[in-house]
Amino acid sequence: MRDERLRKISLFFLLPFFISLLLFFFDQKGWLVKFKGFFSRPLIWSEGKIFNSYQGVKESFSNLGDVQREEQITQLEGKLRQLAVDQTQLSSCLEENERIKKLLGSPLPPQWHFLEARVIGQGEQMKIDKGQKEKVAEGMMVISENILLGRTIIVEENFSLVEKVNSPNVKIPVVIKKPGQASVQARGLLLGQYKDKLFLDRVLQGEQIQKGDLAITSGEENWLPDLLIGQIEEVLPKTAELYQTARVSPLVDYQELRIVFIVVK
Amino acid sequence: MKTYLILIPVFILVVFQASILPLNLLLVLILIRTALKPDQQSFYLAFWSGLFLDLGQGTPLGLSSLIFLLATLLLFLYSKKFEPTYAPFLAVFVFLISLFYNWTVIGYLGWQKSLILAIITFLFSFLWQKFVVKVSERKVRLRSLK
Repeated sequence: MRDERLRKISLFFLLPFFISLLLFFFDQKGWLVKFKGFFSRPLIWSEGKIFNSYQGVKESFSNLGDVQREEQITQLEGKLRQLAVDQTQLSSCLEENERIKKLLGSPLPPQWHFLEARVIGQGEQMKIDKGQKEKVAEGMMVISENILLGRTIIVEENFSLVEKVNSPNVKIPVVIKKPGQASVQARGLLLGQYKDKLFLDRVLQGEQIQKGDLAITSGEENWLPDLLIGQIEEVLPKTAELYQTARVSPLVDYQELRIVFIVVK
Repeated sequence: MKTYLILIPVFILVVFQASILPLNLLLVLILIRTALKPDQQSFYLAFWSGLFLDLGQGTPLGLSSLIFLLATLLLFLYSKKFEPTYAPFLAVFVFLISLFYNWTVIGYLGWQKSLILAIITFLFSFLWQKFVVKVSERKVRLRSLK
């Protein structure tokens, strides 16, 4: 009797288990793109609605407090961010000018094209409403202004998932520059950490880094160059180790993002 | 109540989880449902919830189903010999499965989120034991006295 019941249960388990295995296999082969695109449409639509309503509610709650002060802080933060952005743009323009002067006649860097995308979900990864239909491919950078947000890791028919720069799996080679200066202060590796934090590692002890310096992509390991990521918040006390480390704060609040841009080369 | 009605909260949780909710409450729902009522429906619930979640999250189709099914099977087998609704056990079980899920699907353990899920599970099963089970036991006792 008991054996009979167990046999029945194992049947109830085995059937969905093998169907799941088959689906997983077909999905890995890329045979289910159309199927997934069709069935995920109502889910994506609902997720977009929920996300937008949530952002609206969050905004109205934040307005309940001291509105004027809140506005001032937001404006100042915006200005600060803009300044950081301008400074990096200026410094990279300077550097580029120098390079162009030296390399007259050589081809200019390829033009970047941007594809606007709407954020429809903020989980472990950021979900955006552009996918294979819009010719988005895996590994494309996602930015806001000239701040790097992450890169696409999964691209479906109607949407894509973006691995944010603060994800624990992400390691980005960066250069450290002082705001407004073109010269590179130091080189290092930026590691994503849990809860919107970034960690700067692999900076040689001899190199000078300090609070307020900017972490900018160096362009290695398939990351596009000269994109801002964050600002050094605190240089961690020097140890006997070979490298110095620092805590870096991102320049944008990933949770607040609504519109982002995909860099389509 | 029709069993398939549980797919409604499943759908709602999938939509929330894929857009704004950072916790895998669907896993908690499946495991608590299995612990309270370990039957063949639990496997179907695990299967469909996993598929919905994969569609919503954009993770490889079938991956969440596989993990949910394995977790359900483990809990089901455990329930044959022991009491699966025992709060500390269920909390630890949810914690471990959540770690495994994060590691497999996202690529890192995310132990803080797993810990929050374990605490939620603990509180739920503790309150369940404290109120629902005790109330039904009292009803049974009253009926036998009559």
